Parts: sequence; C-alpha cells; structure tokens
Amino acid sequence: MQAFFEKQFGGQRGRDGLMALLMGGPAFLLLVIFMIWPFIRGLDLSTTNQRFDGAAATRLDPWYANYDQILSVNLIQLPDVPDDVPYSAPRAGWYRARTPDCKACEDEFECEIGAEGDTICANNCAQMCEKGDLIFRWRGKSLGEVGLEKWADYEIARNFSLFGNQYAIIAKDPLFWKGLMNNFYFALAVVPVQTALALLLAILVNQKLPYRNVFRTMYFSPVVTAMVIIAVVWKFLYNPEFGLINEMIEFITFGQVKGSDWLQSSTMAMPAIIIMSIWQGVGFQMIIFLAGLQDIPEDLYEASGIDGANMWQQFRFVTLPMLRNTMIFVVLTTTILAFRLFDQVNVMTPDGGPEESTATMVWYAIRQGWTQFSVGYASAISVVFVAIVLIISLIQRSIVREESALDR
Amino acid sequence: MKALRLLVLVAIIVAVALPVTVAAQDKQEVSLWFHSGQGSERDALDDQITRFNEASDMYEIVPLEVPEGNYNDQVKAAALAGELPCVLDFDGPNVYNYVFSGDLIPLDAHVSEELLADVLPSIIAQGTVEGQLWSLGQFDSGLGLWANKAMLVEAGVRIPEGLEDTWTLDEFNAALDALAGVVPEDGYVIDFKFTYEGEWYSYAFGPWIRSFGGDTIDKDTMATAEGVLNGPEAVAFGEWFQGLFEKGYATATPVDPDADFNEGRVPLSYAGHWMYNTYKDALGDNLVLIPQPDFGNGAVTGMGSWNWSITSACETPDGAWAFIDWIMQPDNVKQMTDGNGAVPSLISVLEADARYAPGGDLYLYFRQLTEDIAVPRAATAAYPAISTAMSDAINALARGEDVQASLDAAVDTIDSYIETLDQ
Amino acid sequence: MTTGTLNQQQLAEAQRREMIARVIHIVRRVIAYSLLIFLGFVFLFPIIFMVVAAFKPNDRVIADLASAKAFLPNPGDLTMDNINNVFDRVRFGHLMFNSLFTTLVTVIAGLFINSMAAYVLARLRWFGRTFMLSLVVSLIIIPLEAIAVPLMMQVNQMSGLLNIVTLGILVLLTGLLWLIVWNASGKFLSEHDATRSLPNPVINVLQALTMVIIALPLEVLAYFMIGQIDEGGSWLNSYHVQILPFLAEPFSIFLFYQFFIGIPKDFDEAAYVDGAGPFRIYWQIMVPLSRPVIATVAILKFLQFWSFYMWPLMVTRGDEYQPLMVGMSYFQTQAPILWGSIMAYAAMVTIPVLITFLLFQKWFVASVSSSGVKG
Repeated sequence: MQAFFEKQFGGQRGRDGLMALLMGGPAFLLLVIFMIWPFIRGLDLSTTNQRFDGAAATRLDPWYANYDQILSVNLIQLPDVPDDVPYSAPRAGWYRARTPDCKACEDEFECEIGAEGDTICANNCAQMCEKGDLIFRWRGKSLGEVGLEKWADYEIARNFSLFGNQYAIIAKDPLFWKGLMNNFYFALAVVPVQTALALLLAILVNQKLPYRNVFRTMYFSPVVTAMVIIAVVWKFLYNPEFGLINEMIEFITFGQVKGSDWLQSSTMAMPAIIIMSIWQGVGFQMIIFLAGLQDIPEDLYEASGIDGANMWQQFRFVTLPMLRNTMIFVVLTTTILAFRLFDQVNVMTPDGGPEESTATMVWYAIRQGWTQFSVGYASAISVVFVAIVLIISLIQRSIVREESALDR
Repeated sequence: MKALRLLVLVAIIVAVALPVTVAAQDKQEVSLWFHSGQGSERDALDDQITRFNEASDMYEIVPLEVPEGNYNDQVKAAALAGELPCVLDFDGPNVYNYVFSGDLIPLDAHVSEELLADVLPSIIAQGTVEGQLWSLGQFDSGLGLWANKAMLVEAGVRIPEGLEDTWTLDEFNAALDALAGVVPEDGYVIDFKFTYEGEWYSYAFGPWIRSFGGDTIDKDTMATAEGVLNGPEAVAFGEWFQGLFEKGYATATPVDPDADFNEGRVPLSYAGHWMYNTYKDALGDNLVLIPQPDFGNGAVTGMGSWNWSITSACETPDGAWAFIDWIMQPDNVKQMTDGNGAVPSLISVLEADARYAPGGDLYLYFRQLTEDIAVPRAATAAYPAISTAMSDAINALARGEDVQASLDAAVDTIDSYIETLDQ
Repeated sequence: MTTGTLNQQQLAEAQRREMIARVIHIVRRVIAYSLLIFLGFVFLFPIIFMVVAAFKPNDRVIADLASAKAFLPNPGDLTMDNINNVFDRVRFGHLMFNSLFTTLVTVIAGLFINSMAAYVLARLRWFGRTFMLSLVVSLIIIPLEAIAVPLMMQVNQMSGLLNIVTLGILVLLTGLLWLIVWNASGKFLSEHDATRSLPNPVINVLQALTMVIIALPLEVLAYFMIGQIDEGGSWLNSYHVQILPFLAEPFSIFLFYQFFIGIPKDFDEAAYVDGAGPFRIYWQIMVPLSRPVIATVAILKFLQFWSFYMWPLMVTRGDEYQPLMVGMSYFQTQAPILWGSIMAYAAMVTIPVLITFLLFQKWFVASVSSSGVKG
C-alpha cells in the first residue's frame, strides 16, 4: 500500500503529478464542469419528465420509460390488401392515396379500381394511374381495431411488401428511427463521396501548375462561410421555380433535363442537403489530403516511373498507401461530423423536410427539447445518439486497427 | 498593513458612493421585452416607452427588442433560467402555456372596470384563463383575403359586400378558376404567405379547418386532436387545399409574395391586417378586403394578437401595470394601430376610426371580430404543439404529401405532447 | 556520312517527339485548367451570387434570380442601399466586435489550455493519465447539441464555488499570459541595442505595458465576469457564457496530443537533464516546435466558433452580447424582409473571413501539412 503511494505521489512521479494538476487541471476541470457534468445531468434528466418551462419534474415510472418509447421497434405482418381499397381511410387499414396527376385525372373522369388494383378509366387516365401511381397506404391510428392489440402503442415507421406479403416496421416513436436512418443515409453518402472528391481535388491542385494557389483558395472558400448564413443562400438557390440551380441544370442540358423540386421533394431533399454539405465541407479535407500528398517523397514516384508504372498504377500503389493515415483521419472525423448534422437541416428544412426525409437525430432532439418543451425526452434521445455514435466510432477504430495488424 | 489601508480606502469609497448611486436611482427599473416585428410597431412602442419614462417619476421602463423569429425561443430560455423580465409581450395563444407553467400573474387586481368595459370582447376572451384575466393587448388581428379589385372585375368574380354574402366553397373555387384565366404568365392565383414560419399556419388555417367542420383540437375535452384534426372534415379541407397547389393556383415556394401581390402577379393574398399598409401603398383604391369564405359550417376567422402580461418573476408589478395601463390609453392604442394597421382593442378608438366605419377599408375586420365568427386559438397548455403540428401539416399538404398521413402526424404530435403534460 | 544522316534522322525524330510532347503538354494543360476553372465556378457560384446580390436593388435580386444576370452586377443600378440598410437596422460594428471578441478569446485561451493538457497527457507520468486520455478521446463524439439544455441549466445555476473555480481558471490563464509576455518582452528589450541601455524601471514599465496590452482580451473578460458575478447576476447574457464552457475542447487536446507524441523525446530529455521543469519544457521546447498544429487548431476552432449559432441564441438576448450569426435573424424575421439586405448581411459576415483566409492561405496549407493532422 505504502509502496503504491510512494510510486504514485513520491519523487519524480509526484512532481510530474503536481505539474499535471497545475497545467492540465484547467482543461480537465472545465471539461468536467461544462461537458461531463452536463452530460451526467442529461442522463438524469432523461429519466424524468422535465419540461423546458421550468415546471417541476418527476421521475418517470419505470425510470426507463423514455428509452422504452424511443427504442421500441418491431416487425409485424400486416393484413393483406383487400380487393376493394377505400379512398378514405378507416382508423386502421388500407386506403388509397393517389399521385397528384392520377388524382386530378380521376376526379375528372371517374375511374374505377380493377381486380388487380389497377385503375380502369374511360380514357388515357389509365396510363397515368397505372399501378405505380396508385399508392396503397396503411393507416395505423388504432392497430387494436384490426386485431393487433399487442401493438396498440406502436405506429408504422415503414411498410413494404415481400414475397406477396405485407410487412411493417413499427415503432413507438417512428420519427426517431426515421432520423436515425436519415443520419445513416447522410453519412453513407457524404463520407465516401466527400473523401473521394477531396482526394481528387487535392491531386488536381497538387500538380505543378501556375496559379494553383488561386484554385486552392477557390475550393477552400466555402469552408470559411458560416453554415447558418450560407444555408440561407442555398435555400434560395434550391427554389424549384426561381432557383438558380434548376435554371443552370436546364441551361446546361438545353432543357432536356427538368430541374428538381429539391427541398420540396421527399426523395430529393436529403440529396440537396448532401450536395450542399459536401460543397461546404470538401475544401477542408482537400487541404488535409494536400498536406498528406506533399509529404510523399518525390523519389517514390520517380522510382515507380522508372519501373514503368503508369499514372493509375502510381496512384494505386504509391499515393493511396502513402495516404493511408490521412485517409483514416479524414474518414473518422467526417463520420463523427456527419452524425452531428443539424445546422443546414434546421435552416433549410426547419420542419424536418417532406415526409421527415431530412429529420436527423440531433434535429429531433432539438425539436423535442426546444420546440416541444420535452427536455426529459430530448435528453434521452441525446443519450441514445451519443451511444450510437460511440459504437460506430469504436467499430471504425477496430477495423482500422485490424487492418494495420494485417499489414505488418 | 499597506493592503489593509487599501482595503479601508476601497471601503470608504464604497460607503460614500453607495448612497449616492442609490439616490441617483430614485426611479425603479422595470424590465420589458417585446417582439420586434414590423418597423411601425417598433417605432410606436419606442415612442410610448420614452413618453412613459418622461412622465413617470416612479418607474423607468428598460426595454429589450427581440427579433420576432427568435422571440418564443428566447422567452422559453429565459423562463427556464428564471430570467424573465417584468413585462412581457407574446403572441395570443401562448398565454395558456405560460399560465400553466406559472410564469404570469393575473391582472384582475389592477385593471379598472372602466378599461374593461372599453376593451374588445375578443381581447378579453383571449387573455382569460380559468376565470382570471392574464393579458391585455393594444390591438387584435384581422384576417381575410386581400384582393386586387381590377383583376377580380376582369375575371368577372363577384366581390362580397360583407359576411352575409361571403363566398361559399363552390363560389370560391369558381373564383379561383376564373382568376386563373387572368393572371399573368409569371403569376399565380392565390398567395398563402408560405414565406412565413411557425405560428402563421395555425392562426390562418385553423379557422378554415373549422369552417370545413374540423378543428385543431377536440374543444369538448381539450385532451386530444384525434378525430377532429384528422377526421373526414379536416381531410376534406386537406384535399381541397392540396388541390390548389396541384392545379398551380398557389405555390409553396414563393420568393417575395408581397411584391407579387403589389405588382399584380397574384390577385388574392391570404394575410392579416399587417399587410394593410404595404398593400394600400401599392394598390390604393384597387385594394379590397374579402371576408372569410364559408366552407360549409359558416365563415370563421382567426383572432388574437400580441399582448402584454406581468410575469411572476416581477418585483415591481405595480410599475409593470402602470406601463400596461399607459399603453392601453386610447391615444397610445391609436398611435400603435395607425402604424401597423391592426384592429384597435378599444371600442372607443375603433368607433372614432373611419377605416372601421361602414364603407371603410377595414370595416370587415370590425364585423368579423364583433359578430361572433372570430374564434380564439385553442385555449390549452398544449398550444405550442398545435402550432408546430399545424405548421408541419400545412407545409406537408402544400408539398403534396398524403393528406391523411400528414394530418395523422399532426394529431400524434399534439396528443403525445398532451400526454407529457398529464404526466 | 552514315552517322550524319543518322544524326539528322535522330534530330528530326527528336523534334517530332518534342512537338508531340509539347502538344500533349498543352492539351493536358487546357484540360486541367478547364476542369480547375469549372470546379472553381462550382465552389464559388453561391458566394458570387451572394456578393453580387448585396449590391443590387432589392427587387432586382429576385428579378435576376433565374438567369445568368444573378452573377452579373448591373452597372446601371449598383447600389449601396443594402449595405446602408444593414447599418441602419443593426449595430453591425457592435455585433462584429462581439463575434470577434468571443471567437478570438475562445481560440487563443483555448490554445493555451488545450495544449497544456495535451502536453500533460503526452509527456508527464501521473496517476490516471491513461484514463484521462481515453476519456478525452471519447468526449470528442459528444456534440454540443446533445448537452445544450443541461449545459444551459448548468451555466444558469453557476454560483459560489463553481464561480470561484471558473474565475480562478480565467485569472490563472491571465497570470500565465502575463508571466510569459513579461519574460518574452524582457528578453526582447534586453537584446535590442535601442532598448538595452534604458534604465531598469523604464524597461519594467514597458514590459508591464506590453503584458497588459497583449492580455487585454482576457482582462476585459475577467473584468466583465467579476462585475456580473458581483452583481449577483446569472451567467446568462454575458461574454463569458459564450467563452468559458468552450475553452477546453477534446478534439483540440487530441490534435495537440497527437503532435506532441510525434516529437522525439530526446528534445525534452536533454532539457530535463539541464534542470528544466515541465512548464519550461512545454513552453520553450514543445510550443515553438508545434507552430503548425497551433495554426491548424486555431483555424479549426476559429471557423467553429465564428459560425456558432445555437448556443448564443439560447443564452443571450438583445444585441449587447450577441454575435453576428444571431444578428441574421433581425433580417430574416423582421418585416420588411428584404433579400438585398439579407444578402448584404451574409456577404458582410463572410467576406472578412474570406479575405483573411486568402492572405494566410499558403501558410495555412503549409501548417496543416506539417501538423500531423493527417493522422
């Protein structure tokens, strides 16, 4: 025992310990006060019904009720689509929702649904209202009424058909799961694309060309714009009717390609956010790759050139391996940043986008805690969020580590 | 010893300076926040605060302007932090939530019978929760369809005179179809102010849903929106409303709708009193106000606007009341409403204003507010959720999302919020 | 003879080859530059659009939106109205000061605190070092948004001991800066001919003056903070609430740590043998060697705090302490909404940073390249 203290606090180690306290103390203390302690309080809040307006909070019973609400998810089989699908929805069951064109046409020409769920019309509506345009939706306001009593607290997050059967992913809080999926969508698109693009740009501006500094500056300049400011400009550019981006698309393709609805469309809103985010962020990774490229000794290229390697081979067998560590750094940090996605979403689609297609976990936590006053619930979302990102980065790190082990 | 002497010196300075500073501050400071929206409202209030401070030898109002877009967020943050000012203004329906959270004190002990008798019934209804009066406002809001008279005439559309002969749903639809024929190439038929964010959608479209036969919350129980906001009547509204966007009559992504109306690119603009001055300047006598259409269950209009309260954190409620009493004086109410085009909250001011007399530009607002078709927004602590849910749902409808699913989502938002209140 | 023809043939062949090489070279240049310029346009067009719109009359911004005119200033109606309108509607200079002050103090004081912590983690041997290191690394993933609400409750309830501790850290930092500047300026003054001969008291006064001036931001911050705490006010609506919670930052510590462990130990062991203590080794050996990582962390943190939005919105009200980003809402949500002014404001916020980066661009790339950020 005494030896332990002697070792820890005596002599050289003791002096180091004192200096560590003096020099590292401020940072560690501040981290504890402003990061760790709030996080612990967040853990505590997540088991209460704390509200934003300061009304007294009580501990939930059971304490994990918020987590139960967030994490409960299941897969169930839905009843088959009946032959005669009603237009207006019962409280639970199938109903018909139509695409706008189809609906306008049907309203005008009174169509009927055929045996196979297609639409029979007197005229060319039939083409417009082909099966693809007819969307069968499942309304699950009260699952209990259709023999699914067990899932009364659940809602449909997504339903799909598989081998002729209808299935649904149900969750107590579908919006959280949508947010999680959107986060993965964003990260899976942004991390590889942004990394590849950054590398490409870095190689481009690393050539010995006159004025390359001008181009480096150009590509980096979006990075120094503040997200909340520049997102306002982009929202303007994405306007479907007057936006510059659609105009440019039509101009470049001579009107062959029509622009998109971008932020107004459930399929294009997330891509719009992705494009904008890559535009804003890629310059920074470019600089990091550029730094990595400049560290590769020139003679490696010379040697491989003498060996007869072409440009692609040089890239594949010299550049890439030499950039390995840079690549790891870029991928790890971009992943973490991608999961934090919030600012641009909040400015460009404050309501979470069409069909919640741009809702993210952080957006949802802010929406719950700030807009809806439910601080306790928001804290639980934050805790789950941090846990998920922690797991992802641990997985990434372990992959990196194993690869390095194999290399050796 | 030296240090001690220094300390003594400091102590002496403090001892001498303290009474001096106290003496200099013989007026009690009363903190006040207000949302800074229209420039004219800012100017009028600034002037009223200045004059109040000059006139009062008891209290000094210390105002803070907060941009409207951030206002609710900032008030929330301050409430959480226990940092609310003495006097606070907020958009009508938030009063229920603030009362529920215990942030306000009632005004009953202060307000005089005389004043109460002069205030518009709609304002009193808005500020009354659980039989007590919590807030008063200088003005109420007017809501209706601003129209370009020349374009309506060109399309052969009948202009209703008043509430008796207001458009029915069929007539409204026919008018829209007819107007579609006269709008210019780069125009559209009706502007719904989709550049606004937040509260607008609940305020503006809640009444329409009600006129269709639905509602934003079950007014009998106040416990759920199920069956009213997603029932067949509300769905009918949704289908109709969405149709306007599908037919290209309205746009969910306008860039500058005010200019579109001013410059004759759009003949109808669904907006409130706050557009009166802008539109009047641009259109002059060509501007006409059309009352709320009757969608089947009678015409319904929104009401309520920004109003003033005293917070429970206030240490000088008398000073706070003195200020509210001051701005509720007829001259000050008139100064404010002359500027922002809103409906004065005092009957005496209304009656003296030619714009609200029969034949005046804004006579319809007066009638809408006094003839029992004005319905306050849902008086529930869940109002913040209703506001968010309505904003999300109306935007979703405009984008062409499934009507039933959008309204169901709105109901879920509201109901799950009510659940957290009950816990 | 044969050799002559051969030479001629060779020469012709060589010329031909050179010609082809030159053509290929030119073609490649053309392709490379077209690509570079195209990409340059892609990256710049939103910024160009924003800047051009800032100088257009309000109605032209929208009228020109959907055509190439959006990028072209219209010589006929260039206007400063938007810029003037920005100055009329907000205290732009004051907001700019708030932004610069909070950002610079956070960055500079943060560099200090985080690099010291990293040094302690990288070089000193003490109880709990490995635990602290893994804690810091795992804290990287916690975004502010996840702890914003409890953090706000925390700063709102700051009192007593916590006030003293945080104020103490601020005072410690200021003292440290004084010490360093005192020594450095003393050294500087005694090494230069013009000042060497000055009498000691004068030198001391000069030292003190530089010391006070360089540490001015920290002093001002401490002054404000003491004032506010003394009045019994909460932390909300102040400068320090936007600064102190973010001084220590795990990612900065991590970057410094990575760089420090890359510095050969011989450097500091030599100094250690000479009797230098940890702080002297840190200050006189590690810091001068780590200029690249200092620059990198400084720029990263600058960009991060310059665009800070949500936190200031939560903890400040009124323009007294608000930064530029929050000021944007005065234009977005207050009637009349003038797109010209919004674009002007956006441009006025963006351009100074852009120019600063332009000036230091080359130096920045060089810094990152030797900072070890690459992993």
